Amino acid sequence: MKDKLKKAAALLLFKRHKYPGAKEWELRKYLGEHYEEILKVLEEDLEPLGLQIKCIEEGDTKHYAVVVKDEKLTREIKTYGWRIDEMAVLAVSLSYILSRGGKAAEKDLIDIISNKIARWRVERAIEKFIRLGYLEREDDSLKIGLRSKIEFNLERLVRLFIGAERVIGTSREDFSSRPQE
Amino acid sequence: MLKNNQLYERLIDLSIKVLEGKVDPLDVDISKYLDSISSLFKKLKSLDDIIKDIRALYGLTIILSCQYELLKSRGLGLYIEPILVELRTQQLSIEAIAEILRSVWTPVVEIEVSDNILIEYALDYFNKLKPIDERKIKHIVYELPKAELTRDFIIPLNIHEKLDELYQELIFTSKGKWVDYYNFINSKGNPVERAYLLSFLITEGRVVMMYRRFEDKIYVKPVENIVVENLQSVATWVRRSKVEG
Repeated sequence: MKDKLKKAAALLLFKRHKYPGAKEWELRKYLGEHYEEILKVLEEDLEPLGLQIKCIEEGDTKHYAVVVKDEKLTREIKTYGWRIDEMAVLAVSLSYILSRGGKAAEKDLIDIISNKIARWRVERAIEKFIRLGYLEREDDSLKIGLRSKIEFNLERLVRLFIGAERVIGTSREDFSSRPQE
Repeated sequence: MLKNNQLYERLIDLSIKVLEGKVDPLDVDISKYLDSISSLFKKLKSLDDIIKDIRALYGLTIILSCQYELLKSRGLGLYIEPILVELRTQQLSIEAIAEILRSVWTPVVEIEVSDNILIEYALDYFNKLKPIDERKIKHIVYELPKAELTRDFIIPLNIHEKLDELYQELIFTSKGKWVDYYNFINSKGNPVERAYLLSFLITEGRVVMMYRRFEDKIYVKPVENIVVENLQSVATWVRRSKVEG
């Protein structure tokens, strides 16, 4: 059991692919048919560290990854290395793609965001998020990437974005770097 | 009144716009789309029409799948009107938008690692690696003699006879074994003409070609006892079917 726990931790925590964590078939291959029980034990060990195992389904495949359990924790740690305007680009992108049923024309999205942020910066940020797996490009359209599905509570994002739920205010200083415009 | 072609183009264009997210999938009237396709189906005449009909049908499946995805996201409580997103983007400050994202974010925990075994493998690989100059694959491009290049080549009128001749010659030369391509085309006559004719035999499947990477040589071999049917395109077939009634 101890060996399998170590294997499970390695599979989920060590970066091995472009996508985060491990796919169901990988866990089954290395941990056996009862991999879910091993993950439960691992999750108990991770809980005191403020971490949890998240599972999402995409198509026929299940993806497992270790994420920070408490969203409040990410508020307190302010060194993501992301620019505030890059985060805004991602937030609007995800909301807009969701409003379009999971896929939106890249040009339309860039047009909307460029009203507030320089076009070249928006384009660069979108490229960066595609590279990181937060967004996916399909011809001229953008889709929500696997990483976004794992890392963000999309349902809450939508509620907050339309103002159905309130978020505690923040200041520009909360972020690690400032926009240059 | 729209012509068949124009109507097909419109249907295909509509499905592309839905796929690109420019048109709301739920705005498409599926029954009308189906009616249009079925009315056009009775008037199909040419191969071009059939292809367009298939594309329009494929477009319909795309629209249906987009509708399914949209309804699924609405069912999950993820639905908002696109115009609302645009308005809120204008309304909210960049800081507020970023904060919204941060408040729903639970980052993935990932560790980038290496180990001593991997480092040893990498070192071993590096030590065994030859310098770039030595590793370069020297690809020799076959060059025809100048005299051959300047010689005029006229496509023979009796091309079928010439093809049969060349095929028989290859059968005789090869005796069931692979023959060096360049040796064969240079063995006699005009090599350009022989290469040209050989390409037809290969296209027809009467001759097979193989490239041996390690030797960097191309070989050909005849396929014996092959039933060579008169190859015709689908377009020709449709035309002939019409003529024959």
